[in-house]
Amino acid sequence: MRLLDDVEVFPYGAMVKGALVVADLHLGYEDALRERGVELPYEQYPTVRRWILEYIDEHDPDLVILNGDVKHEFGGALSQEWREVLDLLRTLRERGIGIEVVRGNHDNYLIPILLREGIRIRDPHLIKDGVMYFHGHKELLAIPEEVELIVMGHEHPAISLRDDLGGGHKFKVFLEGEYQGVRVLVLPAISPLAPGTDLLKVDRRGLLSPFLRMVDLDGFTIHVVDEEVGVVRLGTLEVVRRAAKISRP
Amino acid sequence: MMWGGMAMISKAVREYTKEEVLEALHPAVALWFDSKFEDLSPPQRYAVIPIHEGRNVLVTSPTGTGKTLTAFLSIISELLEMGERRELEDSVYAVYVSPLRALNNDIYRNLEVPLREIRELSPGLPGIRHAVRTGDTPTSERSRQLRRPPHILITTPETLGIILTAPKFREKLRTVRWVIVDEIHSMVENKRGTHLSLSLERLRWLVGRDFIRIGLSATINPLEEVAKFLVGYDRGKPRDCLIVETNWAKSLDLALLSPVSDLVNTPTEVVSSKMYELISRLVREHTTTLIFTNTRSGTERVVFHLKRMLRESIEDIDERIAAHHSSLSRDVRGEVEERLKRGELKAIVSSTSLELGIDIGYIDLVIQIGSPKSVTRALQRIGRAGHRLHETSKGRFIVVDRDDAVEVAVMLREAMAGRLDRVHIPRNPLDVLAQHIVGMAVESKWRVGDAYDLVRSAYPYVDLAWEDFESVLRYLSGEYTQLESRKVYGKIWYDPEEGVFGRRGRYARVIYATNIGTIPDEVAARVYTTDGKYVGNLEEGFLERLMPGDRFVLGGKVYEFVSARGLRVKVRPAFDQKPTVPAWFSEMLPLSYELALEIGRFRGEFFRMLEEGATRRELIALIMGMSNANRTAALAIYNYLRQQYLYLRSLGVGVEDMPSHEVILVESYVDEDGRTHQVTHSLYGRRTNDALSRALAYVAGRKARRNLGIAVKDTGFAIIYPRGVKPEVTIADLVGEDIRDVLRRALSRTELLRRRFRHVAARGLMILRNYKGHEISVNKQQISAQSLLKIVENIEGFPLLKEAYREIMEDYMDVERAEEVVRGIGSGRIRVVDVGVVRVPTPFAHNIVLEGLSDLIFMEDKMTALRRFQSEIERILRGESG
Repeated sequence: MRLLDDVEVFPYGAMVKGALVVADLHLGYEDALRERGVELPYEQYPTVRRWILEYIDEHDPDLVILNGDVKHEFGGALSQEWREVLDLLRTLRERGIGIEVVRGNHDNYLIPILLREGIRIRDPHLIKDGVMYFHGHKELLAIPEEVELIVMGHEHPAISLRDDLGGGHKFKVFLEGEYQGVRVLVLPAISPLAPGTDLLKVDRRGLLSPFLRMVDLDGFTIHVVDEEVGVVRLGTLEVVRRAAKISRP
Repeated sequence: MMWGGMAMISKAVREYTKEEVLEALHPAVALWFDSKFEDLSPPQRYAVIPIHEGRNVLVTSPTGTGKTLTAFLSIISELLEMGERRELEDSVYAVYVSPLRALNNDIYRNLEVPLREIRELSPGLPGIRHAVRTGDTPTSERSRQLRRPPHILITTPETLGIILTAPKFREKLRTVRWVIVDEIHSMVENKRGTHLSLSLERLRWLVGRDFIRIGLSATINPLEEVAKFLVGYDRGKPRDCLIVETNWAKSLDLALLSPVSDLVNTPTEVVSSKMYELISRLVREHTTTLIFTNTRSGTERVVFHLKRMLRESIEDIDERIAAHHSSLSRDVRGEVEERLKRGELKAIVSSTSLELGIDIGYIDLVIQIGSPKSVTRALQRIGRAGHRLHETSKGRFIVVDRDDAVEVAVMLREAMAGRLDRVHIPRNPLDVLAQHIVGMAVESKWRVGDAYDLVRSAYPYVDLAWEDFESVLRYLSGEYTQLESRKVYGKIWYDPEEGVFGRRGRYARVIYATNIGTIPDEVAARVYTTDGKYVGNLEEGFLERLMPGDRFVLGGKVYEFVSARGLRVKVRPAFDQKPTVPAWFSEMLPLSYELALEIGRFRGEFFRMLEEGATRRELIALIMGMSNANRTAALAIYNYLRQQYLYLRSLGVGVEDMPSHEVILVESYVDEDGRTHQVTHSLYGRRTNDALSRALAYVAGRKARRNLGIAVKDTGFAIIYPRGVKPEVTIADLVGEDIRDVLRRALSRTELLRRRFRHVAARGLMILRNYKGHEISVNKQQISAQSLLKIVENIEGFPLLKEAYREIMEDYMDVERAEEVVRGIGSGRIRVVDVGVVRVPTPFAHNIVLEGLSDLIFMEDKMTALRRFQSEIERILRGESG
């Protein structure tokens, strides 16, 4: 779905001015869970890789921007992270596509992995063609003059909808709105393992992103994205909230 | 050589005299026994000699009939003889297993006394050591036990599982000649029992020859199955076992009491104050009363009210009434037990924790509030009274609900006739199997065929399919993970070509020892009020369903959900308001199928007698006669059944079409919100109804393409249709459906599956509670049950997912009986009578309609759900502009 002249969104990424942006990959999640005693088969990276290659085939970008939380483990770089991150970078390189990486809060010890492929990390953000790519885990003290659009991740936005018996589905969503005259786009997490923040359940202080806590999120438009249903525009968060209350018993 | 033909499982018929028994025992033991007891207790008359002769024995008798001593007499005697022959080494000869640590400590003390007294009477005897080993045993004591092993080891199922792999201590188990399993009735029905059954076979393998197995049990049925469970199989045939049943030793004095005769129109406060008056009177008239409630919160409530009402008449009442339930700390419970044993208590109130056989001293009355839901459980609870030989077990059943009244009336009739319901023993749990395979791999390298044979010698696995066994090996060897990680995280290696498996990795032993067990941890969210006061915990699955504004009950109070961040929940007190969300997982005791059928039959007969003109006097006399009911209880039952009869007559329903064990009545009722409740009067117990209702909701939802609600009770169930949707199918439409397949689909998106899968994954060592020596709370594992499930669903034949479905369908529900009911409908043995929409639900439907919502069956796809939501949004926007 085309949101603005130069922005198109799909499950679970976006094309912004010719660049493909995805956020919150959390590669290495399975081994991080293993260290906590949960043994999962490795499903995440093959899925994420397949999706990214599909986006590339369809939209033919020159550049891929990984907008933070490329990897998962805070305390180091797990071997699974080395393996999967390098494989992703090399896969993109082989197709002759440029790569930019914006630092997220989980991306400790990512730098040595990127250096192996000669890639520099962008910290705290990357500004390109009037767009600020920013993970979202920090406050934004000042927005440079040239920025007309902020593209971020970090929040893993989602909503769950219920019918009048209480049965429901949880959907990932894009958020689209404005802050101090600058347009803002919040991406859902591409990771199939990352749990979403249910926007209908948290209050402002419960949001993960300090930046979003400063924003009037109620005026943001919600777009549901889902592999099964595609992209569906719902309306502003405020209206969605009211509708969700009405459809309750 | 004997080939077959011999009775493998048989009942003891030969009764031995005291002289015969004493003759067989070591003279010192005989001397001691003779000095202490005038005569043998009933189980001792039948069991001591067979045990002495080396036979496996299952003993069932009420508490206080000398069961434990029965088991130990011959063992102590033999050990003394071995000692005198200088054959007694520093090794374990007898293992005593019980499910309760408290019981272990009791047994330790109860052995201490005879062992000391025997030596006092006959000085110079060899010493026999006994010791307790549980999860609480400190390391110093454990190493002491390794240096000087107890001849008699007292332990729990979990600890037995662990010491089987303890590198040095397991060597001390090779000499085991006797294994006693106490309270076996409390374990056969759950996975602790499954776990134990495999441990026993592993011990058998380690010892290299059969040991004598002695099972001790309260009343249970069928004893033959429990006996097979105890002894296991040898090459596909049950090992020999003698059953000693001496329940006749105690006579029963049971009665059904209702505080009022009208349980519908009497205000709740009046019913409950009359009930406490009744209980107070009974407590005053007896020396020590044990009161069972069905819930923990009920326990505290009863204690509170009794103290209030008895303050006037009994001195120091606050000190003389106590609660005992599993939420209390072990110290508090221990102290209460001590006071009970010392006879200091007038009454003790318990939910389930006192069902098991800790020696609780003298009890002359057991009161049961509400229905205990099965004849067996009723008898087990009542069996706690009259704690002396030859004394009567006195039980009073108090009901405050009409369905309970009918239920207990029939239950007491069955109890007095000695007709018990059947136990359900889980079959082939793959999660418990996974735990043991890791344990076995830790011990040594295995030939797959040997391991498979060993597993199938345990009763629950006698029919285990090779494919299922192998799928567990494949899962544990990390087949579902990447090769690189197998070395690090795989728990076993498995070579299908060579047919061998063994331990992999440094951590396998630690993982096994620190994650053993079958009792699941729950993911709990902590709940705070908006001003930061902690009020309790909610389950993860329940939290996922809540939306801001929802009101729910926590700790008996109503709160409104405000917001949640991760597992921290904010709520606002809403004490004076009604909850809007049902409690999803009130896992109450289900009514047994056999008893349910009897109640159905009783209802049908009662309707027929009404039709044939039986008088009120006759029918009340019938009820009072069959269940020893007081007049008010008999009246309540009479009025309830008669109202149903008259209502159905007024609808033109003939007596042959009224609900019974052969007729399922269906009625529909539209509530004030426009939802239709289609009520099915299928009196088969909740385990069966849960399966039937979900299968039917799935078939109905497939037609309606909407999510449907279900409300499940023991006496029937309701399918709840949203506004604007009418029922188009009834239970009769299940005929011809593959019930297991339909049920599986109906379960695939439920909270029940997610929750049970997490439990199974923990038991199957996919989720560890303790890893590399660190305790990990489930809350810290950063993954929701939903995500877990989504991932494993993609793996073909994943054994732990298969087990989660099996556990739900076979153990939690009763899919087999559900299929039986549907077959009955198909063959015409059971008729379905649909009376259509009624303006007011019939009396039998009241409790089902009041149940509200038990769960949901999701049939609506994502797109439809979104479209419906979008039209809601459009309505709001139109409202704003117009």
